[in-house]
This record gives sequence, C-alpha cells and structure tokens, in this order.
Amino acid sequence: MKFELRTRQVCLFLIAFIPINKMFILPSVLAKISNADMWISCLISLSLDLLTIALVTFTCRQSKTDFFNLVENTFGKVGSKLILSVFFVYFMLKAIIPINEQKEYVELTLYTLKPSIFYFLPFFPVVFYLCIKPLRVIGRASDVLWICTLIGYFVLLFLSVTNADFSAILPVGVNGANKIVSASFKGFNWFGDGAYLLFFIGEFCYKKHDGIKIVASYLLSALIILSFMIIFYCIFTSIAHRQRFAFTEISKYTTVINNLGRFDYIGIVLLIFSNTFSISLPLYFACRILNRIFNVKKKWITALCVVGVQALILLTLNRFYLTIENLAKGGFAIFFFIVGNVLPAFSPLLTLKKEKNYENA
Amino acid sequence: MKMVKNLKTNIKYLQKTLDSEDVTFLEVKIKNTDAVLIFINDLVNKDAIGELVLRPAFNYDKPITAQNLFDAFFSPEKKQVFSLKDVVNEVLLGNAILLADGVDSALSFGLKQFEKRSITEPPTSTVIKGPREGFVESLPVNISLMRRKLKTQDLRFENVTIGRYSKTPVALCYITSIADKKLVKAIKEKLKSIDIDAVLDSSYISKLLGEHKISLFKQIGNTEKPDILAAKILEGRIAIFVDGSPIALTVPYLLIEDFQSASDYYNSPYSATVARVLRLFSVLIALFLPALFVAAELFHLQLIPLSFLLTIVNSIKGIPLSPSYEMFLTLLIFEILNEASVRMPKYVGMVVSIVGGLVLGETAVNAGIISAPTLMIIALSGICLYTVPELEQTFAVLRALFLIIGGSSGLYGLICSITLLIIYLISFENFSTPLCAPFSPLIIKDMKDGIYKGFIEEHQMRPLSIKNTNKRRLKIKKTGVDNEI
Amino acid sequence: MKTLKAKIIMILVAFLFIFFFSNDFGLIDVEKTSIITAIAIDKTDDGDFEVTAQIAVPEATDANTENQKAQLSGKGSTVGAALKDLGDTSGWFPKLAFCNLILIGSSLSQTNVITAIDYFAKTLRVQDSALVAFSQKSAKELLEISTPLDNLSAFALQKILLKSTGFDRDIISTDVKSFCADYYSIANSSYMPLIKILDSGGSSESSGQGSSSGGASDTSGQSGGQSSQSSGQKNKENLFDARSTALFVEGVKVGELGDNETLALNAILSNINGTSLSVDEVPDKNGKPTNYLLTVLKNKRKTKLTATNNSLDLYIDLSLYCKVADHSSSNSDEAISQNHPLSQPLIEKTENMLIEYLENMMQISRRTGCDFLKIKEKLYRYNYKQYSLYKDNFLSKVKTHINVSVFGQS
Repeated sequence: MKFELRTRQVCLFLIAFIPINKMFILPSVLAKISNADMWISCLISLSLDLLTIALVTFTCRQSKTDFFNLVENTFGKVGSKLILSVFFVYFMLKAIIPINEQKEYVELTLYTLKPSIFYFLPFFPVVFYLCIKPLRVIGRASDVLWICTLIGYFVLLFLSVTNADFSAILPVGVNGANKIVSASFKGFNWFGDGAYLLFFIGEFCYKKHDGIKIVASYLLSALIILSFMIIFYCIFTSIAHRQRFAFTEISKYTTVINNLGRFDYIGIVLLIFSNTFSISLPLYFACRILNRIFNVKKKWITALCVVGVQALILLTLNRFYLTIENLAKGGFAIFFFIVGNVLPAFSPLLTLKKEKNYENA
Repeated sequence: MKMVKNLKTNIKYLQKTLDSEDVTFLEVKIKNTDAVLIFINDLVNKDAIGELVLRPAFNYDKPITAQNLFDAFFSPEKKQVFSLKDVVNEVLLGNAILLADGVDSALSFGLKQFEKRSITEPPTSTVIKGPREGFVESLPVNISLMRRKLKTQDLRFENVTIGRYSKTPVALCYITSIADKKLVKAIKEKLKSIDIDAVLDSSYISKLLGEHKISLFKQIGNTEKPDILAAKILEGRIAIFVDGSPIALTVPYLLIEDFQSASDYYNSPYSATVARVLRLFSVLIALFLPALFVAAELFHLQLIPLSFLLTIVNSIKGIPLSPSYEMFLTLLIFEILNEASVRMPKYVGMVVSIVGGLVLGETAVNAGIISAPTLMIIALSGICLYTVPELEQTFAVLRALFLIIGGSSGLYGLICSITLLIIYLISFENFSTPLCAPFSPLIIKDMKDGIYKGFIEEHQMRPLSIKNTNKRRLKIKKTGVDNEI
Repeated sequence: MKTLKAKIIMILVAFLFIFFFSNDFGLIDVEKTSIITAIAIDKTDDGDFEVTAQIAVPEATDANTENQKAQLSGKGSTVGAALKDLGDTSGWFPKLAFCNLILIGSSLSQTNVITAIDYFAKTLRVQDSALVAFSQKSAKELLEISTPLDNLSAFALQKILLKSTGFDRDIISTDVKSFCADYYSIANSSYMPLIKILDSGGSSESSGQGSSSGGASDTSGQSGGQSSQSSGQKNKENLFDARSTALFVEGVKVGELGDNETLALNAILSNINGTSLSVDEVPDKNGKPTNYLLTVLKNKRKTKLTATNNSLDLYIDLSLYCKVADHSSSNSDEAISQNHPLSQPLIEKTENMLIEYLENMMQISRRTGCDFLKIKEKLYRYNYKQYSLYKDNFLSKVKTHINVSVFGQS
C-alpha cells in the first residue's frame, strides 16, 4: 500500500496549522467572557481536542484503510454519504469565520488605508490550487511551514514576554465556572481539530509509538496556544477583550520597535503564511469529501464549486459578518462541538466491523 | 535496405543518397577486386585512412570474403555494416566505409577527426579552489573526462542517436552499482521516444525529458564540470551527454542543487554554510525586495521605520511616476541593459556598462525621473540574483511577476502569490523525485548538504532524496595510529 | 489540456499587467500622507477637542537636509472628529502609524482624559504604543515650542521621555495601552509624566520654516485649523522637564508626584540602574558637610501586601547598591570608585532620604486616592478573600512598612 503521508508530517501538521488560527480573534472572544480565566476556557477546549485526537490516533492504529472506506464499510454507501455530507457542511461552515478573520485582518491592520474587498480575493485562487492537489501536498506543506509557525511564534514571544505581567491571571477561577465554560463553548468554531485527523486515517503507515508522537505534537501545539493566550492576557489585562487581532498587537510594545520600525512583521508575515494554509484546510477537506460523495475524478470541478461558494459567501454576507460570528459562537457552537469533537471521538468504533480488503480494490 | 554483393548496385544507391560534393567515393583495388572507400572529406583523418585502410588494402592477398576483410584491417574502431541505410548513417557520423565487390557487407572505420575546442574552465562555474577543467562540445572527449574521474567498471555509457536530421549521438552515463535501475530504464525509454528534427544542444533534451510541459522551474539539472558531474553520478543521478554540447544533463534534479557550488565542497564547511545562507538571502532579496518596497510605499507605510520613510519621501518628492511604475521602469531598463551586455561583443560591453550604469542611472536620478532608493534596490536585486546564476532566468521572471503583484495588490497579494509558489514547488515532481527535497518532504538526514554543509565525515551515506541502490559512500576506518607525536 | 493551461496562465498574466497599469485605487500617495509625529489634545472653551498634529514635512533635497515640520489643528466633539477635521481641511491623510507621542493639555485636567486617549487604543491603525504625557500648559503650546534639542519638538520630547528607558530613570514614562489598561483595571488609577517648560536661556532665529514651515503656512491658509507662529520671528528656545508625574483617578487628574516621589516610585516599580541620587550635607571624614552624587548600580525591590481580616499591611523593601559618582569635598581621601565602600553617614542619610520620599509618595496616594502602587489589584490577585472587606477603604486601612537599605559596592 502506498502511503500519502509520513507520521512525521502528521505531527508537523499539528504544530504548523493548529495553533495559528487561534491567534487572531479567539483570544479577545475568550477574554470578553471569562477575562483572566480565558486560559482555563482555552485549556478546556484543548483538553477536549486532545481527547479526540488521542481517540482518532487510536483509530489510525487499528485501521488499514482510509476514513472514507471505514465509513462506507460500517454504514454502507448511502449511510456513508450522509455522514460525509455532515462533515462537508461542517468544514464549509468552519471555514467562514477564519476566512473572514483573515479578510478583516488584511483590511484593518495590514494596509494603511482600508483596501477594497477585492484585495482579499487572491486568497481564493490559492485555495483552489491547493484543493486540486493530493493529500501529500498537505504533508509537504507541513514539512515547510512548521518552521514558519514556530519562528513567527517565537519572534512575537520574544518581543512581548517582557511586557507581560503574569500576576494578571490571578486569582484563578474567580470568574466562575459558568463564564469559563461559556467562553469555552463559544470558541468551539476555532477548535475541533480532531476532525482533520480523521482524513489522515490509513494515509500514513502507523508504526509503534506513532500515537505517542502524534499526541505529543498536539501537546506542543496546545502549549503554544495556551502560552500565547496567557501572554496575551498578561499584556493587555483589563483591555484584552478590545484587542481584535491578538497576534499583531502583543509585540508592538517593545522599545526596539520604536527605533527599528515594525520588524515584528517578520514574525507576523510568517504566521500569515501558515494561516493562509490553515484556513484553507477546511475547504481542502470539504473538496475531498465532495470528490468522494459524487465520485468526481476531475478535482478542479469540486474545487471550483467549494471555493466559489465560499467566495460568494464572503462577498455577499460580508456586511453580516458580526451576525455570522455571533451565530458561530452561539447556536452553531454545539454543531461544531458535535462534528468536530464528538463524532471523531467515536471513530474507533468504525474499526470494529471487519474491513474489506481494499488493497485489491 | 540490405546490401547486395554487386558493388555497382550498392554504389549507385549510395551515390544517389549521398549526393553531395563533400562526400568522396574513392575507388581502390583490393587484390584486383573493385572496392570503394566512402567518406566525408572534412570529417576524417586522411593520414589514418592511408595508414589503416589503404596500406592494408594494397597488401591484401587473401580471398575476398567479409570475414577476411574484417580481419585484415587493424583499425581499433571498426565494425561490419550490413544495410545501406547504416552505411549512410556511418558516413554521416564521420566514419570511413569500405565496400568491396562480391561482399554483401561493408566495413566501417572510426577515423573521425574534426576540430574541437580545448578543455578550459567553463565561464558559468569558475572556482578559486578546485578542478578547472570543463566539458567541451565533443562527446568522446567528455566521455574520456568522465572515465578519468571514475575509473570503475561500473561506470556505464549507453548510446542513443536522436534527431531525424542531426543524428546526434546522446550518451547516458551512470554507475550501475549506485543508480536506480528503474530510473535508468525510464530515462532510456523517454530518450528513445524523442522524435525531433535535430538536437543541436543538450537543452533540447532537457526540455523534452521534463515531465511537466509547462514549468517555471528547471526539471533537469546541468553542469559543465566533470568533477561536479562525477559527484552527482556518485549520488545516484544519471547523466546525459549530447554530442555538440558542453553541458551535461543530470536526472533527477533538486532545487537545492543550484544553491550548492563546487567550491562548497573544496572549502571549509563553515564558509560553505555561510556562503549558502548568503545565497539564499540574496535570492530572497533579489526576488522580493523590489516588490516589498513598492508594496510598502503604496499600501503599508507603517512597515517602514520613520527615519527611513522620511529619507524615502525626501528622495521621491517630485518624481513624476508612481512608485510602482518607477520600479517597473527601472527594472525594465536593467533587464534591457542585461540583455544587451550579454549579446554585445566584450569590448562594446564595457561601453554598455558605463552608459547603463553611470550615465543612465546618474542622469535619471539627477533629472528626477527615478529616485535613488529605487535605483539602489534594482541594482541590489540584480546583483543578488547572480549569486545563483543557474536560476537567474527563472528568478528574473518571478521578480517581475512579484513586482507587478506587489505594486497592484500589496503585501497580501504577495503573501498569496508566494503561498501559491510554495504549493507549486512542493507538489512538483520529476521522475518521482520531489523538486524541493530535502526540505519538502523533509529528509533530515539529507539536511547536512542542504543550507547547512556538513563535514565530510557526516556524509557517510548517499542522499535519500535521490533513489539509489547503494547507501553507503564513506567508511571511516580507525587506523589505530596515534595522532599524537 | 496543456495548451489550455498555458492559455489560462497567459490570460492571468495579461490580467495582472492590466491590473498593475490601471490600478490607482487603494494606493497611498506618500506625498499626500501626513507623517504625524505627535498629537496634542486640548479642550476648547465650548467643550470641543482641539487636536494639534505635528507633521514631519520632508524636503525634496539631499538626504542630509533636516526634516521640517508643519503643525495643523482640527476641532471636533471627539478626538476622531477633530482628526477628521484636520484631514478634511488640509488635504492630507492624517496617518497616525508614526505618532509616538500624545500630549494632553492642562485644559483636560478636570475632565476624564480617557475620552481623549481611548481613541488611540480603540483604532487599529493607530499606535497604542505611543507615549502619553500631560502638559503643564496647553498641549498645543508644548508642541509649538522651539527647542535646541531637535527641529521637531515631538522628537525632542520623546528623547526626554525615553531617557527613562535609557540611563537616568527619574521619569516615569507610560504609553497609551498601559494608561488605558490601568484606567480600566479595578484600581481605576493611572499616571503619566507631567511636562513642564523650562527656559534654556538661548534663542534661535526661525529659518522661515520652523514650527510654521512652508508646508504649514501653505496648508493653514486653506485650513480651518491654525498654523502657529509667523516666519522670521525670533523664537525663544525652551527645554522640558518631565520628572514630575500627573496622577489620575477614573481619568481625572487628582494630583502630582514631585521629582523625588517619582524617583521613589520608579525605584520600587522598575530597575533604576544608572540613576543618580543627590545626597546633600553629609559630613565627610573630617566632619565637613559635603554634597554627594550617587549612582545606583543595582536596586532590589519587593512590595508585598498581606491582608488579614484585622489588618492590611504593605511591605516595601528597597535595597540600593550605589557608588559615589561625584562629591563636593576637597578631601583627596574621598574616592570615587565602584569598589569604595560608602561612609556610614552617607548610607544613613541616603536611606532616610529615600524613606522620606517613599512616605511622601504614600501620603500623596492616600490624599489623592490614586492607587498607583496597585494595592487594590494586589489585594484582588493575592488576597481575594479579603478583597471585599477592604476594596472600598484600602488606602486608608493599609499600613505601610518601608525598609530601605543602601550599600556601597564592595
């Protein structure tokens, strides 16, 4: 069996793409609800994701075929199409907020004057191009971009950590469980990363201890996210919830910036590279699902549909972005939790039924 | 068409086919039997014809049979040819052909002799330390250079003739105990499938061998130096020589190859690593600096430090062109000067550099048509590009593209286009070898000859980026001799 | 398919070319962009904000030419509106990306200054890392001042304020973000340096540009705002003193910390290595009164709040390692050396002096109600159980225990 990915690439995938999309508006969303306890809310979500990822990794160990075949094997053709459709909708919805975040970021901070929305459109050809590529390209992108994420993160960390007052997170838990859990709930759109791993099942050769490596990689990724959240809050304290784009805000208070200009943009641009890939991932997996559901051979057709729909959503619903964001944080959060965390957590059950011999298929 | 025993019939056909004044049909007698020696005047060594063909023919006293004739001549390069088509081919290749009456085969003598360039240091890859010899246009000379480097029975040359009209000899070169057999087979098949009028240079083969017809980047490596080629072959690559071209091709090709220089292997690893980092940074500056500068000026003033911004604004005040047009115009002038200086004779080239560099630049700045920072950035970018001369043309196109993108859509446009380029590069494969290895896919063991250049002791195994059948290339044996005196 | 791909690529490249050569939307004309280096905010009699921007005006000459400045004013009911007014009337895009200094005029002392400053913390295109300072007079006047330090008074002021991050930490500098964070914290108390104007004794002939450069006079003609002084006028040159600190509670100025108290506050809040301390009238070996200048080599500081249901105690421990930098003694034995131990009288005098400064500082805190030591925050963070008990009267209840130790480096 020819594998599209290596275990190393799966691990690096988690480091390269998982932390970055949580560094835009999520910190301010969490800070608004649970204030100094925002990191606990984040920790809850990360723990849920860790559990999901551990269970999906267990499925990877047990399975000899990919996720699509597993689902078809268990639920039959029609059932599998239904389940895949749920994931398709999930990924399409999951992509909306991060894409809008990046668009808003580009409009509000990257350009000196607010540019037209058309300046954001080059993003879509990039996603289209990525969507027509095989899965191994995602693995190879992880090979390259993990270093971008880490360098970008450490540049920002280095510039900002001296401005942080770490006592700001005290007293722990004073905001009450209600607020903490509520913040965690509202952030589900940004989490649920276990769902990505489903599509890596059977795509890499699972060897002994691979599960530990994958979980350890996610732990590193979680550590990056958590430390970022804590530093963010410790820098801004009482005005943390007003900082819309956390990762560009935290590093600008260092004295050297006054003398050398915004050289923290080196780190920021590196993170934007990773983020461009990161926010393309839901659409990439949506394309793969669509290809499978309709058995499409010409990938560009599905890529065009998925990217076109997403571009249309961006162009038409641009004015209602805040409503969409509130929906994602409100009613849809439960959907994101179920599809992003609960369903993948049950993936080991898929391996219970004896698998067909797909190698000869 | 098969040969017949009647000489006249054969000659009649050949005279009709090779109807050209430079083809000589020399009639000779071998033991009273009519015979004809055919050759192209300027391609053969006439002294050798006298010594190795005519003298033995004059002294010949055995019965005229194909085998007797073959045994009678002592030419080291001789073979029997049985069809008239092959006779024609042999003549065109510069060999001398002897046909005798009553024999239905011909003898071909490899007595080629034509003018060739002497072995010199190639202008594209000069080194301060290390071998200075370079390939020439003659295939046998190039093969001899390789044989001198690698004295092993495992070094194989396989010949293919390509070109309907040029009949260019092309030689495949590899080490049997190292090269991947499947790759050799695939390349051979690909070469054989080429049906083209003429192969005038190895670049023809290079383009036809690539798996991607539309490609921005090189798909086949090349070198003009035997030492580099030997090193590449020893890593498991396969070389292709084309008669008439001093450039040998190598397959598979990795992008990192062009960031490696021959001198890296002859100097200390420290300086090699620094040089490679420098090359990488230079390429980044060359590719992105003009675009970033224009993007910052037009869309992202906040990226420029205040004191620097004031200097820029000072210098661009009064310039009639917008920053993007100004940069594009300057780049255009630079590319024109570059093109002109390459084409012009050497002594005129000096004039071009004076006129272009000093007069045009200085006057344009003084006249307020272009600003000094723009000129400086293009000059810097231009110089930086030549730190990796092999990729200069590709990067020049990319630089212009990035400039246009940066000038029209700013930093985000640039980020998207670079992301697109990254996806393109990491998904690019030729002969199942990823172009960006060992970075993507990440092959950690090969990183010691990536940007970082390891010590020779670290290169004990052959790179994994290139498929090969023999993994170890260096064994360090402990001598047991105490180094302390 | 291959030719189709090639055609698509050609079309895309052609489109890019067209886009590049026809594109003029979203671009910034650098020449029309005002590079605002400082903002002065005052309040007019009718309650509007008057925002004065100091703008660096580059000259189209060689690189060595010093940048000239222009000063423009705009009015509005909010700071944002005043800035818009400034842009509308000058034709410049007022871009605040380079604005590193925000001056608050004395006219805002009775109002909540956050109404002026918050704009810079809310807007994403503005540097909220800009320094903030309170002017003893009108902020506009401060910007208009001619100073021998720099052609642009904004740069001169920044030099003074950033000195505190450089060597002599006797100024307490703060930026927009910190000020706002302090304001919105549970302590509601914030501070910023108070800038006083000093007479340098010198004067300069305005070059005809100065604070009312060609650019400024051109634009002021068409603007509703006013440009400052006329050209050719003989300007008096001034210097600035920012060693005092203005204190704010809920954004309203409630008092000031003097030079000594500011130094004491700096000593317990931050690293003050290199800062000078003047200790006067200390008897030398011969008993002769001598004035000393000490340089702080290192300061160890610890402020700890302990709260029980019966008491609230603030412990301030400050250890200073100093060397004598200068003295007025004629005695040749008085060495100026890093390794020379300080005399006991000098140590005692310095300790007493610092205790006095710190006590004064605490008194000012109690008197003004400004919790610049963030006692309430400490109470909340470290003694949350007692928080509700003391949150309304912590300043009156807190007992301060000050311990200062001075050492000579040995």
